[in-house]
This record gives sequence, C-alpha cells and structure tokens, in this order.
Amino acid sequence: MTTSRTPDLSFLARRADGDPTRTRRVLTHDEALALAESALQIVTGPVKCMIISQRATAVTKIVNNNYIRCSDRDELELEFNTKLGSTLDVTIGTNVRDAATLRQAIRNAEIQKTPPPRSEDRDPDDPDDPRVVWAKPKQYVPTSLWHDSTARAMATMRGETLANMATQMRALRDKQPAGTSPLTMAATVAVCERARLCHYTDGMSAWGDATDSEITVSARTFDGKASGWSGQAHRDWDQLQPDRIVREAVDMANRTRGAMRLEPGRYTAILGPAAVGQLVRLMFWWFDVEANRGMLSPFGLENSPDGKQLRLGQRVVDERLTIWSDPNDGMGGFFPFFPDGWPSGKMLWIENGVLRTLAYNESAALSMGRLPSLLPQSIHVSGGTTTIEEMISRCERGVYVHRFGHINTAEQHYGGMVGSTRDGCFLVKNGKISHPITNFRFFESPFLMFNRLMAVGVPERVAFGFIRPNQMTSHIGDDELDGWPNLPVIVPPMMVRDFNFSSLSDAV
Amino acid sequence: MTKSSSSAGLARPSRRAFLTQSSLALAGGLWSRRAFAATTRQPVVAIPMRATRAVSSFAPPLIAPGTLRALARTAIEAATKAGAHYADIRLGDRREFRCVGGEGTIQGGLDFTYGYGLRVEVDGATAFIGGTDPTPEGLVLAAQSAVATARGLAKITSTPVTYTPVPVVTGEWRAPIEIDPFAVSPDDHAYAIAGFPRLNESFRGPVSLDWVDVKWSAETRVFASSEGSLVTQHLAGVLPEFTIGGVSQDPAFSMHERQLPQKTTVLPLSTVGFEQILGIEMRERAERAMQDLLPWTQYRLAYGDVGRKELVLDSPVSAAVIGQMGIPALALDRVLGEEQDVTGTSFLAPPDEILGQPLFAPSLNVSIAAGGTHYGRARWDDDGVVPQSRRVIERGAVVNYFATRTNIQALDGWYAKRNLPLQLLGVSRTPDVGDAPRPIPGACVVESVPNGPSLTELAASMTDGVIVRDGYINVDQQGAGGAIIGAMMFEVKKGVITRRLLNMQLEFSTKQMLKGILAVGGPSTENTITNWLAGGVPVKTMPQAVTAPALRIRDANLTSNALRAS
Repeated sequence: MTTSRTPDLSFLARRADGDPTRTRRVLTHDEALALAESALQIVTGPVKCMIISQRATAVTKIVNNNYIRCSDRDELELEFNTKLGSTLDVTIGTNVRDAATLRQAIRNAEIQKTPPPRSEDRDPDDPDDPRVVWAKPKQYVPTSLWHDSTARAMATMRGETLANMATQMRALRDKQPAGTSPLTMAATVAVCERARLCHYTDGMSAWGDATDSEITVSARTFDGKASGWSGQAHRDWDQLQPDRIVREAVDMANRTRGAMRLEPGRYTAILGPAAVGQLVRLMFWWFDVEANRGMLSPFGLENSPDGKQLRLGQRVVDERLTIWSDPNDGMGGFFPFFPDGWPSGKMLWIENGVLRTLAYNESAALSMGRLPSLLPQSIHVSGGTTTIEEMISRCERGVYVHRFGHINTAEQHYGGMVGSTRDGCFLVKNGKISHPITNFRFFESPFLMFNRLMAVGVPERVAFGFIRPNQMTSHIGDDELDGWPNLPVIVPPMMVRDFNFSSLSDAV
Repeated sequence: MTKSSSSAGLARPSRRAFLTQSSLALAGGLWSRRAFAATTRQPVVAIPMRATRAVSSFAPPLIAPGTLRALARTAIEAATKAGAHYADIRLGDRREFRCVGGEGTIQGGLDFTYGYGLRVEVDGATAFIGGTDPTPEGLVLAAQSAVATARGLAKITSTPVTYTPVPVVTGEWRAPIEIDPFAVSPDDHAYAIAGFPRLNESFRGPVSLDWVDVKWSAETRVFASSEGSLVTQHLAGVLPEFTIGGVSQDPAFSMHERQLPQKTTVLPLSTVGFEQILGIEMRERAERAMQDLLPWTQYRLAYGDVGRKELVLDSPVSAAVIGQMGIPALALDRVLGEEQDVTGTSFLAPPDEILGQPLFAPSLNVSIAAGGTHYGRARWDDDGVVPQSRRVIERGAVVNYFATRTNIQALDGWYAKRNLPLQLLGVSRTPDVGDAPRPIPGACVVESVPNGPSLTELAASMTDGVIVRDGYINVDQQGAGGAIIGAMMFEVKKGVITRRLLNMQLEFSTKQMLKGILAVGGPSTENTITNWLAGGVPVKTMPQAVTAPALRIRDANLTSNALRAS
C-alpha cells in the first residue's frame, strides 16, 4: 500500500500541543490511515497487519462538592503483526509529533531483541497458513457509535455539567429538614472516545470510532443509615440527564431513611434495571463454548456422556426473553469486527427462551463446524411493557430492589451468584411500597430466576460506574482492564417469584 | 454463515473455505495482547525459554537513575514555575518477568513499562496527571496542564486540600538481592522452575503440584517533591504461586466435585532475588503445602446441614477475611467517603466513634509490617514517608487508620488524645506510577499466639462445627459482612473431622465474626496470602501480603449453595 506522497502527520503535533479548535481527541479515519501508511514505510520486517488503537478518557470524581480526582488519558498504540507470528508494539506518546519522531519511536521499539521465530512457525508463503493472504477487503455492518456531543463534553463537562451538579448537590443538601442526618454525595462523570484501525497489507481494513459517557451519583446520610444511587450511560452525551440523576439519588437516600428489618427468605422480587443489569453482566462468560464444555456455565449438560454436551436448541429461560448482541444496536452497539479486524455481526444468543448459539474461539469453531465469534460485546435482553409501578401494584407481598452491591459467582453449574442489596430496598405490600427495609444478602441464579418471571418491563441501558476489575464482564478488547467503559448492558426491570434473600446484611 | 441450533447437521468446511469466511486467531489470539496476558498464563512478550542470554536483553535498556532524577527535577521546576504551590512526581521504569511451568510446558513472558505521575496543588485544589512519555518536553507540558487544571478546579472546590508536612528525604536505596533475576537467562529460569513439578514424584496419588507461577519484578522509581525530597529506589519483588491440586477419594461423586484446588503463595520469603528459587526455602514450602493437603483428600464427601455452626478458619481464609474486610475498611479515603460511588465506604466509620472502642475480640491484634521481603517493600512510600511497623488493631480495638498526607488531619483529635504527634505510617502506595497513590500498606500481620494451638487442636474444641481451609469471599460495599464460598470445608463433630462438605457457604457479619474469636492459632498455623485491593479512579488493584494464623470463631451461618429449580 505504499504511495509516492508523504502522508500528512500534522495531527500528531496538534495532539501533542492540544488543539482548541478540534472537538475530538482520537484520530479520524483519514488520520489513522495516514499514520498507518507512514508507519508501514518505517517498520522493518514482513508486516502483514497493523492495528492502531487509541483511547481518550476524561473522568472526574467529586465527593462532598469537592473535586477529588480528575483522570485524563490519551493512549495511542500501534501494533504490527508480521507473517512470522511476531508482534511489535509501539506506544505513541505526545513526543511523537512528525515523521522523524515517529520513525524514532518505531526504531526504539524495534531495538528490543524480539525472540527469533519458533521452529514450528509456518512458511509465510504457505497458502494454508492462517497468518497469510486471507485478509482481502471485507464488508462490515454499518454502525453509528460516534457522537460529537460526547466529544465536545470531554472539554466542557468539568466547567459546565459538573459545576452545575455540584451546585445542585449543595442546594439539595442544604434543603434537608433540620434534625435529620445530612447527606453526603459523590458523583463520577466519565467520557470516552475510542478509535481502532486494523489495516492489512492485502487490502482488508476495518475502522471504527466510538464515544461513551456515564454519570453516576450516590448519596448517603452522614449517620451511615440510608443511601441512594442513580446512574445513566449512553454513547450520546446529550441523552444524559445529570439533574435527574442527582435528584433520583438524593430522593432514594431520603426514602431509605428509617429502614426496618425484614425476615430473610424467598420473596417476590421486583428488580430495577440496575439490579438486573448487575446480574446479567456476570453472564457474559456463560456464552463461551469452552466454559460450557468445562462445566463452568449453566448451558452445558452436566451428566452428558463425554461431559461436553451443550444445551443448544433447548429452552433455557422464559420464552419472553430474547438475548442478543448487535454492533448496530442503538443502545448497545460496538465495533463490527474482532480486535484483529475480521468482521463480526449480530449474535442471537437466546431466542424466545431457546439457546441458539454460543461464542466459539477458533479451535472450537474448527472442531465443531462453527464460525468463530467473540464473546458478547454487549448484551441486550428483550423486555415487555410492564412498568415498575404496575409490577408493584400487582404484588401482594414482595421486595423492591433498586440495586445490588458487589456480586460474585458462587456456583458455576447453575450460575449461582451471591451479593447484597444496596441503595434502595423496600417492602411491597398489597400493591404499594410499604416502607424501606434494611439490606439483604442474596444467593440466586439468573439462569433459574429467568424461569420464574412474573413480569418484564422496558429495557434500558444501565450504568455501573467505576467498579472493581474482578467484576468485569469480559476481558475482550483492550479497554476493559481498568473497569471502564463497561460493555453495554441493556435490560428491563423484572418481577420474579421466590427470589432468595438468604440473610440480613449490616451494610448500607 | 447462517446460524444453526446444532452442529450435528453442519458439514465441516474445508480449512481454506473456513478461513475465507471467518475471523482468524492471529498470532496473539483473538484478544488484544494486554487482555490476553491479563486473563491467561500467557506472557506479554513471549520469551524463548531455551535462550541463554539474560532476560534483560529482551527488553530495552533501563533508563539511567540519573536521567530519571533529572526528569523529576524538570517536572517539579516546571510545575512550580507555572504556579503550583506544591508538586510531587513519581517516575518509574519497571519490568516484570513471569515464568510459568505446568502440564509439561514452561513459558516465559516479559513486560516493561515506564511512565510518571505528577501531582500538583494550586489554591487548595489537586490535579494529577499520569503519562508514559517521560521526556523533558512531555513533562513540562504535563506540568503546565496539571497546574491549569488545578487552577480551574480551585474555583469550584469548596474545601481546600492541605498536605500535612513530612520530613524532606533524599537518598538512594536498593532492595537487597544476591542474584538479579533479570540477569539470569530464561534457560536457567526454566531449569529452576522445572524442578518443582518433580516433587510430584514423591506424591503418587491424590495430590499434585500442577502449576508453578513465579513473577519477578524490578523497578527504578524516583520520587521528588517541591519541598526538596528526591529519592531513588531500586525495587525488587517476587510473587511465587503454586497451584496444588488434590482429589478426594470418594468414588460416589464426580471428578469435578472431588477436586480440591488449592493455591499457595509462599510469602514472606527470606530474599527476593533469584537465589530464592535456587535455595531450598521455596521447595520446602511447596512440599509442606503438598504434605499438608494429602490427609484432607481422604474424607468422604457430603452435602452438609445448614444452620449456625462453630467455626475454624484456616490461615488462608482468616487472612482473606482480614484482608478483604478489615484492611480496606481501615483505609481513610474509604472511611471519609472518597471511594463512595466507586469501591465503597467503610463499616469502621466515623473514626471518632470507632477509635479505641473494643469492637473485636481482645485476642485480635493486627499490625502493618514495614520490614520483611513482602511484595512492594520499599525504603520510602510513594509520598516519601518511611513505612512504620505499627499495630492498627490492638486488643480488639482500632487504634489507627491508613492515611495519606491529604487526609490524616481527620485523625488529629485521636493523636492529640494520646499525646502523640500526628504521624503518617508510610502506607501511601501505587503499583503504577501513572496512578495516584492510595493508603494501602504492603504487608499486614494478624498476630499469632506464641505456643498457641495447632489447627487440629482448634478443631478439637468444636462439638458441631466446620473447618474452612480455602474459599473465596464475597464482600459487601462496606466490608461489613460477606460470604465465604467454600472450596474446602470440612465438618467436625465432637472434635473429629468427619466429612468434606460440598456446595456450602458461610454468611457472616464482620463485626460479629471478629468479636467472636475464641482462640488464635499458634505460629504453626500461619500462612501468607497475596491480597488484591481495588480502589481509585480509574480503579486499579494493588497487591498486599497478609499473614494470619488460624482462628477459632464462635459461630457463623452455614447455608447451602444448592439451588432448586422451579
């Protein structure tokens, strides 16, 4: 793909110096191609593929109206893959401003003495070598993951949105009735831009850019006896409603004042979307065929003769539920290609309750006659039309759960999970919210719970905020190592029978 | 390719046809390099383990300490020139070599990173900027950007941040090692690792050493501040882990149910250089762990009865309980709400109501250990403070919290009450210089009782109880309670171990459990684990060594994991 013209790399200098006229921080498609062109002219070795990935994030955390943490990152990396199976990684820092400094950065990376090719490496001219030649141009599902509003917010949100949120929080805090324990509030606002180019010398070229944003607010009483939370996530910053999020968190905290204890046991549970999302996000690995064959997921059959039979084609959950991942999902889209650039598309995991497919890595796909597929890059669970208010009105006695705390998988065969409720737990009696109750620990499995559905609501994308890495849904891609952005999870609120609230929790 | 509900009727495509239509796993896999390394035992940069040149020759040369110091000075000068009232910086050049052996293979991988983290304070507001480009020009730009950010934040911050004064420190320190593991060849590393699976030869039957995973780390880290501190540390660490598996001898259950996986970390060690793996200490510990597991494979399996049970927590579990519940709850940033909306708050709050109160059993004493060879040992912490060895829980009462320069003022009243000057414990740490430090000590010790009871003696005191030898813990957002999901639980009736229990978990309240400590084991019951603690924005995990003996607990609620389908 060499050309006679010299690619224009002036965007590198603008990146280094900061360009106030530019609304986006990550490369455009043309800039990425120019960088690829330049880099491929510099690097030595039989490169067949080059991947450019860039991620820019701006995260701000405020606690008690104080800005306690701002974290801005701009990570631009090049990855060269050669025909002999070796990889060269180059980090492009802000000191790379032009072709000369780019050359220096690549040369520095090449100076490291990469290991010699392994003896089992195939002949690069072998037409059956999977590392060679099949990278012809491909078709990709069109997606619209980029929103200029989010790119603009990266520059403006601290001065505008956060300042307004801090003012609103202060006002709500000052409005608390005298004699009640005052509120402390914390908010996390995060904005992200991503870009990825997978460029093959044989012509295949995959490009994607995306934005994402999330606002979460938690409010607690100073005496530590009541708490509330709200959050919203969307790729389009303009869809977020910060003032509503602040109000909801404060409202929930106030509504949980005076919580009383309720005997643990099995109750009808009305789970808000955030609660459902926290269970579903630990299901991503369930769709890995290897996990199922290793009996680490409910979709495998435990007593099958070879221990590896799967539940494909069987009804595994309520027939009202369909679960899919679609790159072009308006609420939960993602890049329509594997990290190495090969196309991927919509995956219909469960259709009307029946397990239709799983994610096959290359070796499993080859041996089982399937196409390889990624683990879910988002999960969208179909819903119904029942509102939470309607669910409450139909409930004689039950528990409304706004959200859960830290959840772990406790039992892999059935997908049993343990954790505790938080930020809003209420007794529902005779069709109404009766009073707030203290938190529970629970032990439940979405696999079984999705077979005890009483009602399903309208799906929405849920926010998770910054969470511990061990709660990440997936290790696919290179963006999830520090827990944010979270892969999109779009779920409805649900009403389920016999949810197992196993014991009381002291935590608030 | 159309979907199919079953692979049975689908003709297998030829390899060529398959490859033209599908995605491939290229070298490096379907995952990105970093993600792949994070989730599997595969290395970041594969190293040929038969190579006879030094491991360090596979990486770029280390940045000279003098260069790092010069860069630090440049950054501090730029920050103060731009208007910072206070500035500090950490620069690090780090490498890790991971060597994994098992299932007849040995693999090695090398990772190297360098970067910086610059913190500035302007008009009471702090900004932190981390980067991977430690060049003079990059640092000057970073300093100017940080100051501008802090200045902007100061206009909308209501409570100014203050930095408690600390002594100015200068100097250089090197972790004492005899043989630099990075100066050793991969071939020698492989030879050393290969020796461990040979222990299996003396353990025919139900116990085996399945994997050896040793991670060596080395870093040159420089800390400098506008107050005049400038220290250079040559850090070293080793994290050896052995996965020892056992199989219960009860043919009535499936192989999956009969397996007893146990991972053992062998910290603290006498040294962190390569001489450690050449010596016998590591082998002896591995052998001891295998011998320790062997008798536990002979019990029959059963699904236990639920209810409140007396309890003995073997040391890996007691260390995990303290490490996951107690230690995070003592981090002052969590106590003061700075981790609210992220990793959580603390059940040990507010300090005024907690300090000095007899919350736990008087036999519980927990200390932070400044010396030793634990993971992350250093002469100065990441705020330039010398780490202290101190009790944080004394005779069941919290007597200290883990604080940083910006929040220790919250303990002013407590120190004054004890007629002590406000003192930092030197626990401010960050695993990556590009992230802000957090108050997490490198090592904690739950003190055992000299001549205290053995595990068997602790069990003998139970009429109807459970010994938990291994498991993992689900923790709530405050550390107030959780569940121990037991991979190895054993029933005890009238002091005698009867059966191994399947699909059980223990639910507990932290205060109740630690208040209910009836006896603390002796040194023979001690074990050390690596405890991973998360926090900060972005959320990162940090390792910490926790040493604890076995504990006899009054009781806890034993429940069943078995679910019913309806």
